[in-house]
Amino acid sequence: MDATRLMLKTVLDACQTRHAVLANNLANANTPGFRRCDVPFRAALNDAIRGGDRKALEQFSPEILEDRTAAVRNDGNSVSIQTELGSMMDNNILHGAAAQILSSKYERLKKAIKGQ
Amino acid sequence: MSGDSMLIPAIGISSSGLDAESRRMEVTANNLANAQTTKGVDGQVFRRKEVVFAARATETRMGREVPAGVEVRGVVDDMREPRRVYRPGHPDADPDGFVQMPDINPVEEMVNMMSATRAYEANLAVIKMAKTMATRALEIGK
Repeated sequence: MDATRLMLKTVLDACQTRHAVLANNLANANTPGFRRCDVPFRAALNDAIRGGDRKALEQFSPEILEDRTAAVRNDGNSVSIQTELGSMMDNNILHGAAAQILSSKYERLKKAIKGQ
Repeated sequence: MSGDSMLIPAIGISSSGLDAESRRMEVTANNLANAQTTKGVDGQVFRRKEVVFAARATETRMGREVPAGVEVRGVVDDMREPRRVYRPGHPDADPDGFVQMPDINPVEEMVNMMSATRAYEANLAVIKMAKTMATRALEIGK
């Protein structure tokens, strides 16, 4: 698999992981003491891509971290429904973009194979 | 590339949220319905109830930590004192003419209801998005 496709698949996987973490935040929006978590994978992924290290990309596993900057309410919960939904939409867009580019790559590959 | 897609767990996580919030709505509706109940099934004045939410422990799948949503640990009685209301003709009045009424504030219950509804709808949106993402991923290269 070429480097671009590997990168795009890694982005897809990271977006899916982030979606699960944001889903967990929302499921626990009313759980006392629950602190929101996130998956800040973009910086780490950028580094892996720029470093050109193929192995780093193949083994890239996005980290799930507690968000220490989120404001905590009286019941100890730090989830804001608006924030989660906003992050989720961002994440969805990135996922869509990666999927679309991957799709068009496969389209071109199929056409090349068919000799078009 | 790291293992499984997390989209299926995401749907399970959001479902747990839907379950928990709808339990919360039931309990709130029950509080409202029993706001005037002077004698419950146990012969005592109705006590306001609350759901206790707790985050489910993360599960390990394919060597990865996967969050697992929320669960209802239990439904507990609110121990606030009942109100004493003067109603001498009431069948449950004490010798002084006072009846014990549940201390249920409709405004408080409605705020809880709105919060639960909003969280429920947010969880629905998450499931919808998971479906979109999964369909998209499946269609790559079709």
